[in-house]
Amino acid sequence: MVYEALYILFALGALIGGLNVVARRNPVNSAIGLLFTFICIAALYILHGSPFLAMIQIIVYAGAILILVVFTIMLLALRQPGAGLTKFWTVPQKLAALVGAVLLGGELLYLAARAVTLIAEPADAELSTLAQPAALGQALFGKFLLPFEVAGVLLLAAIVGAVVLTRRPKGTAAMIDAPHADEKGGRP
Amino acid sequence: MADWLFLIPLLPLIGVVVNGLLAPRLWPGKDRPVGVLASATVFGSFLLGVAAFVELTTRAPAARRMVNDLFSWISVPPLEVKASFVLDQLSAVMVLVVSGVGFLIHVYSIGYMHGDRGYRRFFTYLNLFVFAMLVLVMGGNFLVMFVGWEGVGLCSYLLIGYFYEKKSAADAGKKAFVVNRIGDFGFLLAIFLIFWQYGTLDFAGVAHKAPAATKAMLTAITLLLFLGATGKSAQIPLYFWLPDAMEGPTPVSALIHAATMVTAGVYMVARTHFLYDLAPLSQAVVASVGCLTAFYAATIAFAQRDLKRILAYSTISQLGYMFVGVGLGAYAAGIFHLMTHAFFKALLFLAAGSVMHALHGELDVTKMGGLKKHLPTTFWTFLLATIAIAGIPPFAGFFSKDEILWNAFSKSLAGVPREWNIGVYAVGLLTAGMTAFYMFRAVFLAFFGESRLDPHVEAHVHESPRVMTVPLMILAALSIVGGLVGIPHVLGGGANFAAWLDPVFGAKPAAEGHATASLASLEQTLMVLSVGVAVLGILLAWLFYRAKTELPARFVARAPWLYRAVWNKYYVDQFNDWAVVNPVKRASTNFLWGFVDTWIIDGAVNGAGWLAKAGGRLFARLQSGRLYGYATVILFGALVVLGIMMWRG
Amino acid sequence: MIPVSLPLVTGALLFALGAFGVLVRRNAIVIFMCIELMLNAVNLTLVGLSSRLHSVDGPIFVMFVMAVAAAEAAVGLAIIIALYRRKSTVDVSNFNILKG
Repeated sequence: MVYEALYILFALGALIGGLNVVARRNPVNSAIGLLFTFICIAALYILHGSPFLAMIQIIVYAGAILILVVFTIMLLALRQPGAGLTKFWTVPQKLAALVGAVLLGGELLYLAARAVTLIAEPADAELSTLAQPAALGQALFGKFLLPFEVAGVLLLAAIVGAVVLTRRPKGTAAMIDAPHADEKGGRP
Repeated sequence: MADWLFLIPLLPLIGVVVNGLLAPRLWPGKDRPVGVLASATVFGSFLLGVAAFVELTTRAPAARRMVNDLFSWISVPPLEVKASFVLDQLSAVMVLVVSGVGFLIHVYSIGYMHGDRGYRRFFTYLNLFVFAMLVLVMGGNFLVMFVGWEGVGLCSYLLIGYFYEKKSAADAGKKAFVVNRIGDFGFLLAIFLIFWQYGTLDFAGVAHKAPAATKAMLTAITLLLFLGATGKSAQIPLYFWLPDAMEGPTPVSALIHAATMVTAGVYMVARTHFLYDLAPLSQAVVASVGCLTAFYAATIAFAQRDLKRILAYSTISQLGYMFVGVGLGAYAAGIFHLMTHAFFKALLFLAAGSVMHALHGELDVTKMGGLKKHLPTTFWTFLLATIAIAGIPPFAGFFSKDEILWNAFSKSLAGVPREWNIGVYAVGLLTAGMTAFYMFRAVFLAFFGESRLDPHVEAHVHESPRVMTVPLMILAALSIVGGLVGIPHVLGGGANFAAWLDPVFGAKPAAEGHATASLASLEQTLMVLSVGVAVLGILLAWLFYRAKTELPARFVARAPWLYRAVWNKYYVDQFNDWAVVNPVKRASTNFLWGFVDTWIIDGAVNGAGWLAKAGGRLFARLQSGRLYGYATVILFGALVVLGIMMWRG
Repeated sequence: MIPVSLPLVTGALLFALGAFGVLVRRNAIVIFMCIELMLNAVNLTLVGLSSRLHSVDGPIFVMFVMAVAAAEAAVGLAIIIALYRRKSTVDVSNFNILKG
């Protein structure tokens, strides 16, 4: 009972964070909202009986990805005047997006409902404690060894790609000299 | 046993490939090897033909049939057609004539076409023709024969239009091909009916099942087949392409339009005798058309001045005789005349070519004269051939022509009154006399008398080289002795030719003692009559063109309308232009081009292009370059997929 | 103990929210953040279901998703930086050179 209430609490928190991401004009505010979402989801993972996953969520998402995003925002010195809701596209586009999203949500909910009916709910189910490091490790280095190695290669490729994409021609200034958003023209 | 039969047509085909495709590489710029190779392949076919002939003679008469099924060509049940070559007595005769005379003409052409720019092309087409003709006469079923039929038609077009830069030659080629096509249409319809009726196209198969059809169906099939024959063999109503075909080089006229291609129709009727024997009405039609054409063409030949045109109408006339023969069911007689005619008509054309060669292209007999002292070999061979065609014994033409006339007189067809026979005989006899007349007219005008040559031409006149005169001499020898294989019983001969061919046609060889004495003496009397008519014709020609040369002019002055009609070939070409050619041209220009081509076809093609462009423009809108659009599309795509998942449960 | 409907519903709503955000925002970085939102929703769904079904495949999948998300973040942000250098803006309505 308590678990359920906590769950709903954190779920709502995640949703509120998501709304912030979508609706705030200042990208920094969006990033804060995203951070809030990540933390709430980590809490949900704990409620699902997997603190390990929660830790990984914080470390990877909040601690790496989000940092990267914030870094980028700051580096590009994007200035958005004021706060509040952001400027959207034209009305028809907004409408289409809204319709699309609503339909998407509806379909997913339907599928969720179907899944629920398919999965028998035992009266007093024990929380699954399967997702512990030991079991995960067994699976990762056993059944999922190949994807694991491939993921490593993928990360290597990503690193190389990131470096290549952001390389400047030799002898030019560093990133700090990037022009402001309201200036025209830039360094080649 | 006879697996090598296909080699007979194959050799000329090899000549085509080598001369046509490889010659520029093998011997660039040199002409002699081309001509020698082409002649050698035909000679090879001739030797193989002789070998086959000898092989046949070693067998019993009923078993003289060699078959070579190369491969299964069409196998779409119920239609089964093999690429099948058959050699029986009839085909053997045809093969020997085609390859033998063809070989002589090839040798002649080595000299005649010397120096011509298209030498290689000429020999390639000539070999191709021999190939197609051999396929035609050796075909074992209607379709293989049709392949050869079309092939010779194509080569005829190619060779008539050989001097394609000359408009009249190109037009003549087109005319020949189109008129042939009309005949081929009849042939095709007949093939369809045959397949529909009998379920097979094999000659042996159809012959076996032949009686199992209604009289009407048999008559229809045979008449349609004959329509094809009239196109190929230049009978009424599809004859008018042949005189124009003289635009081609003279060896072509000799080979294709005298000795071989035009005889394909006769061969076809003989080959399908098993159908004609069951349709006496068609037989009567065939013989009547042949008879009429023989007379009609002879009248036109009276007034012609172009030496080759005279020979062309003479060919049409003699073909008429052959059709009289096969129409009456005397197939052996018709084929006999085909063979002798091949000898002397080829000779006549080649000699005319020799004259042309000597006179630098002059062909108008009124501009010749006194050539016999300038061109002795040409003169003597031409004279021998003319005697043969006039039907003077013991030259070849006499025996064959007489055989036909005797059959016209004595062989009755079911359901046809005797009067018809008498009529055919009478017209045939008259035409024989006319033949003698106009042929000797040509001889007297060209070779005898005062020279009417252009002085410039006369200075250069010379006899042809040996490579041209030797074939002339060989053909002359054949024209003299060629008829001796068919001396009829009543003259003490063994009628060997007919005996050789009879098993093909299911006829019983006439036993010596069956002919009653009165019948024999009747036949002899008729022979004397025909010789007399021929001699009369020769004497009249001598009278008009040697003794009293003012007579032709007086005759014309008395009946100018008659002369004009004959001179203009009875205005048949003009009628065709008015009735057929111009309406078709108008319809093509206004309707087919103006409407169908411009609106429908161009519309479809341009429309397809326009549609592609419009479609492209439409779809290009998808590539807006805007992130928003792409993302939306992806979202909606995902929605669709999810929707399907929801549906399928 | 936790009814399986909860993670599923939450995941569905988060995902739809993220999709909406991708379509309406003009700032490239914010779009990226919305994508991360969608990925998290997926992760949540995976964990929720696998915990109910007592399977270890779910969490494994989640870990791989995270790895891929990290790689994607690196490369994606590098692209955004490179674009910014060209056009001095991250407003996606300016990037339409592929217009065909």
